[in-house]
Amino acid sequence: MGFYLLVLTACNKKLDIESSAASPRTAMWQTYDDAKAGLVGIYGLTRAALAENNAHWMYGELRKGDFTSATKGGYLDAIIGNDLNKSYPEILQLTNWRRFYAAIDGCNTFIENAEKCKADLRYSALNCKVDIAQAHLLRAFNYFYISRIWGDVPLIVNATKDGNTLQVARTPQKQVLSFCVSEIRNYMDSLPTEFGGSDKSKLGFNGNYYGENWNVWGNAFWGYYQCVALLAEIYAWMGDYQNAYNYSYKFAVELGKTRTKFIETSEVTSLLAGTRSVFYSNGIPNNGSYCYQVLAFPYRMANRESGPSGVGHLESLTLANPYVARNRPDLYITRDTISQMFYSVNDARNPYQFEFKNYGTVYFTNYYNAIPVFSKFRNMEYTNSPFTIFGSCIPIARFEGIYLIRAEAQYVLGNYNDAWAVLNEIRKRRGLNPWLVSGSKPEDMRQLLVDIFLERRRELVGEGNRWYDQVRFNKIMRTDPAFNELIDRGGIYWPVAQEVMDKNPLIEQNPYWK
Amino acid sequence: MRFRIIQLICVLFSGLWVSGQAWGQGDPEAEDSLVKVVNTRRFNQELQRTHHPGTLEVNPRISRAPLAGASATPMISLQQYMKGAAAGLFVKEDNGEPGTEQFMFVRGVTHPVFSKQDLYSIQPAVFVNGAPLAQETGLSYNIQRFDFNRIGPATNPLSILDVNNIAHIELLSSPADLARLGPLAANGALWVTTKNAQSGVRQFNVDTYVGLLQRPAIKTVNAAYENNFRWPFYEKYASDDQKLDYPVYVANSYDPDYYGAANWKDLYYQAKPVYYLGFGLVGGSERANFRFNISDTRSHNFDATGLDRYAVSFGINMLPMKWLTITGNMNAIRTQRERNRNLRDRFAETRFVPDLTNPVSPGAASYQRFLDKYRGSEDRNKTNSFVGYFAAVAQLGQLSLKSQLSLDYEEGLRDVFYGKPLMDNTSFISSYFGFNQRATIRNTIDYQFKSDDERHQVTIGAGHTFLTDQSKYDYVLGYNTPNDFIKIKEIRLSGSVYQNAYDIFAYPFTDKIKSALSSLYATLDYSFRNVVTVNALGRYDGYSGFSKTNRWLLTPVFSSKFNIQELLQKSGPFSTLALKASWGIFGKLITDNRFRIGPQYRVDVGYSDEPVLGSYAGLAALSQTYSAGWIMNTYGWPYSQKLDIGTELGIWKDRLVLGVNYYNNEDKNMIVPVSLPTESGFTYKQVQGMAVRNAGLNMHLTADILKHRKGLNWVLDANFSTSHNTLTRLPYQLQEIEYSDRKLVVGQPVDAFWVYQNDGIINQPGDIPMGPVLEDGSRNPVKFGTLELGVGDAIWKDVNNDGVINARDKVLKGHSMPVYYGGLDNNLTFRNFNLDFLLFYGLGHRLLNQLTASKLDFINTENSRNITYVKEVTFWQQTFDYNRYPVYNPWSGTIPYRLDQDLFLERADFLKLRYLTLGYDFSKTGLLKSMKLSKALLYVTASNLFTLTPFKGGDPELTDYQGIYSGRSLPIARSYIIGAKLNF
Repeated sequence: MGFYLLVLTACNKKLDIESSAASPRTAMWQTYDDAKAGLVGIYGLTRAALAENNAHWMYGELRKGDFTSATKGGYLDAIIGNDLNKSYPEILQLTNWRRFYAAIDGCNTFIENAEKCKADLRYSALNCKVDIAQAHLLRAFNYFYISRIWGDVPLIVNATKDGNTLQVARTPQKQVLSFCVSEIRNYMDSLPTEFGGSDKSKLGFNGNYYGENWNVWGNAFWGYYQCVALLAEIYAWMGDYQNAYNYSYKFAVELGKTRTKFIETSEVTSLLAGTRSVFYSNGIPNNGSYCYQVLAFPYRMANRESGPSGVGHLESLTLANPYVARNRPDLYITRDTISQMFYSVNDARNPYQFEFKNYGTVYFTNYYNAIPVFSKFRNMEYTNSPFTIFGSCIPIARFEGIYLIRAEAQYVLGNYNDAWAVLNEIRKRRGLNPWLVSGSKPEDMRQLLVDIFLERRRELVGEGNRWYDQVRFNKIMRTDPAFNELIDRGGIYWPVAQEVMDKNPLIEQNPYWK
Repeated sequence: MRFRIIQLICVLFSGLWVSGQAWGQGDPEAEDSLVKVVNTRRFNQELQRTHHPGTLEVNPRISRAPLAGASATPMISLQQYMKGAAAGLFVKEDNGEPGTEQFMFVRGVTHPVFSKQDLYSIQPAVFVNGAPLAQETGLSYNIQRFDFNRIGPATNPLSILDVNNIAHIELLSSPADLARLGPLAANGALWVTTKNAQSGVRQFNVDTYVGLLQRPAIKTVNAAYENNFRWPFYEKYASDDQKLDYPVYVANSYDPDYYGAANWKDLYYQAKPVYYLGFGLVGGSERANFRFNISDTRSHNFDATGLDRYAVSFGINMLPMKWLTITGNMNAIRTQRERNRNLRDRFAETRFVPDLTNPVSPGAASYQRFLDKYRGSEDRNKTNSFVGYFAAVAQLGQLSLKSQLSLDYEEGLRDVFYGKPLMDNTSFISSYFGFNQRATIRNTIDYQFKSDDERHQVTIGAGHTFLTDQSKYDYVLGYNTPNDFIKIKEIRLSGSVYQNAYDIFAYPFTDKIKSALSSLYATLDYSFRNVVTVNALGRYDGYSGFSKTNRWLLTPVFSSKFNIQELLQKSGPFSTLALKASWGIFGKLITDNRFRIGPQYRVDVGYSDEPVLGSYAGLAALSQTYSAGWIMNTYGWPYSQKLDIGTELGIWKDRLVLGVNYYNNEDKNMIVPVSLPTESGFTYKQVQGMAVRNAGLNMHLTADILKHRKGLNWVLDANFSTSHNTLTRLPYQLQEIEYSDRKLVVGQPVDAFWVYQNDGIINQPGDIPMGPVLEDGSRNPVKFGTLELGVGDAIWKDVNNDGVINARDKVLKGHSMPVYYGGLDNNLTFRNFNLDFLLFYGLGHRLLNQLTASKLDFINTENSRNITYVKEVTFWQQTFDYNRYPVYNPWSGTIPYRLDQDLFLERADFLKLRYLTLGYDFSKTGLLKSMKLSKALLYVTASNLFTLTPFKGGDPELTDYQGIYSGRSLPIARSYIIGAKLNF
């Protein structure tokens, strides 16, 4: 028996086998590498939430937007038609907000634990401060993003503890948004203007960041000016146009520090559209010194961070022959809609290229086909093969869009002349003639607002803004009774999945979808 | 010695058994040296090296599965040999493709099967000569988007066993049977004993067969049929826009590819031969002898699928001392598999879905064009297995010591290359290497006391087993190789100039798990005059898969047997009359290694379509396990509490033997995903505390119905089982759980379908059902979720009568696993003729007909990128009568042809003639008598001759593990072989 006891104790040690695919919670948050992996994790979770089912475009681009589904019937048609209560599996998944809360819980966890990593001397206090500020910023972004989709959402600022089933009711949207704003304002000064470069903020957070320089990161990590841009977006959504103006103005006047700029007229065909456009990989075309993606979730193509399904890139929905071996795309823009969008032949984005007296490929390919291919996004990894590896990011905001928020804000604030000037600044860069309607009465200036939003529609098509732009436009205009009803009855929000309500009875369905 | 007694009984019975079989080792009378045989019998008894491991004696006529027919049928896997052959075992062969995985269920479903991993975790253990075979873990499913097939060769690991090298197979299912095996066998076990080395006259045996498959009778159709089927829907419901969207390949009646002859089946169902050639040799002296067996097997099915198996087996016995026996057995097996050319399986492998607008067309010429695209592609699937053991048995008076060292190593390799024609002008390459390994050391010690008058017998024993498992794979897949000829490496043009150096877009994966199990048992056995036997066994098992504090488990097993026939007069009709009962607790193993470390961090930044994306900005990302669910701090052993009460009844010198067993297995403390609010970010949390009960009857009858020495003999070997499973408990006193598209309710079966109940169609607005009466006396029309119903929608029962049809109105219905199943093996001999046939049946279960649902739901499946709905060439056949289904509006947002409704729930009962074999033994005929053959059997076998079933859509056996019939499996084909068996 003694022999067996001996065997037994020896065996007990042999039963200590480490798991190779996961590390226990107790081993996390101890080193520099844990902080790095954890920080990257929250960006990755947010990107996954936006990429699942191409959600970013489903939420932001399709509803009553410019795209048409090539197939009649099906979930794309339903989303475009705002029939969000149809029971297609994709819609059921899109109405579930779990992935966003995974990202939020990731942020909460990071905020609560990152300090512990300072035990590792390689993880400096400043690095930790910067990382925690990023987690705050990303959490605010997630809340802003989901409150645009669902309106009132539960505001949870603590990490899930030991799998407790904590149930929280929906927090009014106003409260969620003011939380976002105050968070960003509190933490923006803890962020550098760029990562891995020469920081122009008071922090002086210079030198390589996680082993690489700015030319590698671009804006993959979000800093001070991402805060500024996001604040402009949030204030505009809240209707606080004074602040929207302040921040969009701040971004523009401090442009030199932001390391971004306008895409110039001559660059439209190569940078705004094209196989290595500003949306490709880290957003720094030609290894230059500008990153055109101000707010975006890029896929780092040097590390082959993209898969063959193509999902998570707009290309997977919009490309067809001659780019990929597909007879027709899932989504396209009809020629009628195209002609509504582009009326000036001088517009560098117009499919009709005045210069060549022909229809060229900028935003569209095969313009004369029954189904023109929307090819603004065509960042094929292999430009000579139809292989469906795409390098486009999930775009949130670019300088042009932020700039136009200023025009929108100035319009609402009644500073029409500045609004015209800002709009014309953009128009100029797309080959359009500047124009101006004089007058000071709001009724006279309606065309100005129409034009600001038309410019957004042209410039930002396919970037997942169209729906939110329509909401803001109609909130200001209030001339479309059908849309007014959507706004007033909460129809601008998505329904909440039954699964969400089943798992937390405190959640109620959005009234419009009851 | 108790073991000796068991051995003796086993040998005696097996002698009886074998001599009753036409294809056993032969009639002893025909042996040329009878004396020598008798002399060596004692030694051969000594070498009965693997014996039934149970704590109670079992009549081998009950416990051993009939294999005679199986050995004359073109079957290649253990699952196939055992199908319908043992009470309490249901074998699920859901695909006729040779070498695909097959699954077994011993005494029901002990755990709800949500995924393939769940299925692996409830598989019985297989012991070959006492050596436990490595079990598949399903590890690689973590990186797979779809779970149709495992990556790699995915060859059924139990297709390595050659039936001609197997002496007998026993199903172990009662606590008494499993007591010594412990947690490894918590799901039951199959105890395989290969043919043994023997001393005596040198014997050769040669086995061979060759045969062909018969094409199934199917009705092929072309696009005209599809047009006739679809157009009425367009006429009735489509808007002009939708009519314009009518698929061109259906509409264009001038297209010869789609409207021409639908003769694809000539190419698809091409029959190639199946064959087998095996050679065995037994020989040696009294002190050292051996058995050698070598075989080559070729199995085949349609769509150019096949499996080649090369197996070598070598066994030795040595008796260096009178008290010491050393035995060893080694098996080396290589298999090669040719896999199907399904689009779905290929897309699942390549993770790339090309344009599917136009399906493969039904004409032979265009199908040939499609097949031509495979030229230059590669798909090599190999496995190499080694199973072996060495054992030493020492017999020192009343003390016996046994030590066994065994190893099972199974590796799989797959190389795939698909060229540009198949991949829309890109190319795909992948390479897989993986292995499963199990090493076991087992030591046992037994000591027997006898009272002087031999009335009382006490045996004490103990055993220790240490087992290590390792599973690992390396997998890389890549796209865009330089061209279709240069598949891997860049080429050097000159000096340091390389071409295509970086163009391959590749993703490497690797993963491994290890686990270890340490078991100790002690047993006390008391027997009184062989009338009453009582055994108590205590186990102490430690497993690496659980939290450190909870890894050891102490469990008891009690068993007893009451041999009533010992008290009866010897002249009575009862030769056997015994009552048996056993009860015990068995720890259950969890192969998934994530539970041992508690809450954890892992890579979780992928999404449904890109599950393996692991980085952001090029850096590896770690997060909590949001997708896989929250992991609790500690997990302890789940366990199975098993009860078995049975009788053994033998009359007229065991001419008729009946075994009836009632079992009640309660599997408890199992892990189940419990819902968390979605606002936590976690999908679920993995909580322990689910319990499932399986109860039923297993009956086994063996009868020598006719017994005439020179006339007709008929041996019937019948088994019948019932199986009822119930979910008895959920954690936190929950009453129900929803998990993906399944629902578990306490008190309900775990294999039930969860469906809407179909209640007609809305033909006019007046047909829209009204909801409950509201407070103001009015009633609102019923809605589907928040969607208003309209003309052409289905009416589903509003079960909770709240005016809204949603998941709350879905009900649990039917079983996906048979409630009653069994087999009838009949062996008839007349002089030198022999006829053997096996009927196999499963009753009381249903299937969910995804094939029909997806055809009716053509609007949503036509343009879906979900590869579940990819149209294969087999799409072009008539599989259902569309006139029998209501004409719903397929464009409706309620998805009227959704799968989860009882419209598609169909009865899946079946009775099959598994094989029918007729043979003639020439060894006793005058012609060959002089050649001194102990056997010269020539036989013909027809397999899968008929299936009786109420299911009209095909073979109801070909459903997946959730009872879903996709119609994509290759058929379990009807085949005809001619074969010979020679012993000399």
